[in-house]
Amino acid sequence: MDVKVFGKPGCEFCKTTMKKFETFFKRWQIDPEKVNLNFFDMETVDGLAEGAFYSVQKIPATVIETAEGVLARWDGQVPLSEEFRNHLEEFATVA
Amino acid sequence: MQSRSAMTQDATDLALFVRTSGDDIVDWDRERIVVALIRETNIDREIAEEIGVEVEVQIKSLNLRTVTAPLVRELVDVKLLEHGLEEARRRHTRLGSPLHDVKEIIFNHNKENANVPHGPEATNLTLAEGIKKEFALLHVFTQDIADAHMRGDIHLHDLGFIDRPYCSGQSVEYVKKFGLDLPNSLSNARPAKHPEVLLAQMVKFSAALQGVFAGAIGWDAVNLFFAPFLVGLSDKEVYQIAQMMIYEYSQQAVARGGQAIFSDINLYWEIPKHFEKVRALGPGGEYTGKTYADYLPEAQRFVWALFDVYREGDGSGRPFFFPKPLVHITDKFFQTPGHEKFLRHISEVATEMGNTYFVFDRGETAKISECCRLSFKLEQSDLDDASEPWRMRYSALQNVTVNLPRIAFRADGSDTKFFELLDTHLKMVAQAHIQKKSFIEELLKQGTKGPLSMLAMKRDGNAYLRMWRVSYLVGILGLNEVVQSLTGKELHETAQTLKLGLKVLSHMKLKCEEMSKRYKMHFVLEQTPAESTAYRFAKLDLEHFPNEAAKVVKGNKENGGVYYTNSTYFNVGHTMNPIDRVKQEGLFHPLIDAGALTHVWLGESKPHPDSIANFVAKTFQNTQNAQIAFSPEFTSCNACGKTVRGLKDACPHCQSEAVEGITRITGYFSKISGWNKGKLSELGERYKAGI
Ligand SMILES: [Zn+2]
Repeated sequence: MDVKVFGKPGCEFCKTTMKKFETFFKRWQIDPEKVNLNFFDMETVDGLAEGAFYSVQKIPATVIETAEGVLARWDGQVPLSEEFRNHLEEFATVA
Repeated sequence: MQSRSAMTQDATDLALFVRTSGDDIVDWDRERIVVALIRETNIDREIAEEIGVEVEVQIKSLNLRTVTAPLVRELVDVKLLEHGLEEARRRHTRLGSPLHDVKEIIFNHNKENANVPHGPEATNLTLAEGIKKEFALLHVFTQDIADAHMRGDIHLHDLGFIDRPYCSGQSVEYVKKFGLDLPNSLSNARPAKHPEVLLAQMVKFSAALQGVFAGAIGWDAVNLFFAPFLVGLSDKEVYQIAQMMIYEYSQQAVARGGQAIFSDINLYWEIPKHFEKVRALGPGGEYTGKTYADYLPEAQRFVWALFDVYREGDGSGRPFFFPKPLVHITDKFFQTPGHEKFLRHISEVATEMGNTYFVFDRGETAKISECCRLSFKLEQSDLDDASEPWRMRYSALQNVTVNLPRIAFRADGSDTKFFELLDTHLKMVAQAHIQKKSFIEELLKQGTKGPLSMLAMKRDGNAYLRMWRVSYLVGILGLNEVVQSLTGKELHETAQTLKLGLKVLSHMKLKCEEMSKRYKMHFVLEQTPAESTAYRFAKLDLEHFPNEAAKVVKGNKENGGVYYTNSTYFNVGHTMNPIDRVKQEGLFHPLIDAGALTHVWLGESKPHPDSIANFVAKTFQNTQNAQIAFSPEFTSCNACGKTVRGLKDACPHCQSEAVEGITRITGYFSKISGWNKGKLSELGERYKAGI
């Protein structure tokens, strides 16, 4: 599974989003082998290209997806932990 | 100069005359060569005289009765080369065409631009373009840039129009406020008081603009700005104005070189947000005391009537080629009463005639569309302009397209090398733009007495051409072939190839932004129309990179009808559900600042207007696609004058074979008989489908 956060370096909400996922990944002890958490800086070529692939128009944007497709996404807002918890639960090693 | 009597003393000089370029026959005089050499090339008198003597010896040895000035010049050029004076030789070049070529041009149709018919005016244009193109490559651009163009690494568009900017978008408000008051014109017209007069002035203004721009002339929010002139008019009268407008533009084939004005009219169902509170200009160039928000009913009646006219088509039922109607679809569109009915109306035109362009302005973006669809975001400076809409004038100075597939061939499968080479090419594009910019600035310096007087006139305090606001277009061509060359798969085939395509575009976009900052010029990516460039690049690459190019060029290699896929498009022949195509091609559109478009090739199929309307609404809501157009195909019979759907070899009504196929070549409708080989191949390969 992949969690992709799209943002820009100057965007505080983007940093918050990323920190939030890092915090909860630690708290729930998400297995990093199974879930990748990545930040895409839309001011870089790779970030902009990946953002275009997901039609990101408003930052921060977050996409949770598996090989089957997108499970959830947020555009222009910081996701709440209860909104993404259920997607990550099965990879948590602590409750 | 020697006198005749002096010359008669020298037998060898007796009958040697020179036919000059000034319609004159003069006696041989070596000094003329020397004077011309010094004047044109700045070489020393001593060398000039030496060359003069050498040439004279040679000419005498030829035993001719008459020599022409071009022959003398050629002989001088050879001597310059022998003396190692290459730069002087370049400056001394004579521009023009061989007899054979001129004959070809006069007798045969020029297929480089399908918008140009064949006739004396058109051949004048072709010949003049030929000379200006040579001039541009020798004088305006440095040798490295000119060579890059000749080799086909880049393509400098409209070289034959080197002394004009590329395209222009403006507001009817300019004509309403200032009337038709052009520098050097024989008579000035005061601001119009009646809609017919406003229309006539707008059309004449367009024709004048066509004389100083190479490409399209776009007009913003036309139905809205006409509205104050339509108050109190009956439906029939509004319809007549609409009819006059479309006929006037579509029949401007009597204009420059017989080439119709490449015209775009931008239209809105709603009052665009940025014009709501703007004071309305009415008859006589006076404020009406109302704002544009008050003119919604007239604006809507007018745009409705325009589409009634498009629906009918011309006298033979053919679609109007120009002006292209661009309807802006926005959030406000869907909040404006009557939008369902209007969307169905324009969708009916789209499926029956194909005219409608659906331009999607999502969020806060507003655009004024033309050939280069310059989109401008509503920053403070533009909001200030919007309150006085005549100030809203946008132009692109030039378009330079990069031969992307060739860069991929040179990269030899390495992504890293590809991006390095791409940067070098983009730098070259920037140089080309800088050189064109300084050339245009040089011309503009002469002000309203100069060749670009119309662009220098200052009716509102600023020159018509606002140089600080112009864009410099960086054209994209053959992205599909880049990806195919680097990975073996085409853009549409895998998520990886699609992402690689997006990466190339992202790289180009960021590079443009970086260059914009460095040079303080606005570089933007554009989907090059490329009606001849796609063919030219493919042809040249098959010569210079035969193995690599053969793997990716599209079209027919046997008959030379080859092409690269336009801009960021997917393979036109790929069988793909139109909504998927619109969605996936649309992923590229937010990266292309100067506008983008997806074509839905309908061919013979004719979807129900409701299906089109539904498709358009979905495209707005669920995709990032910037603009779509539906393109049907028609056959028009020259014998009985009827027009039928689809491309036919003979008329189904009268069986005549004197028929003319019509569809969109790139961004506009044209007769297929005027297309180049590459485009004809593409037409055969287009995947056409209903929706
Ligand atoms: Zn017929």
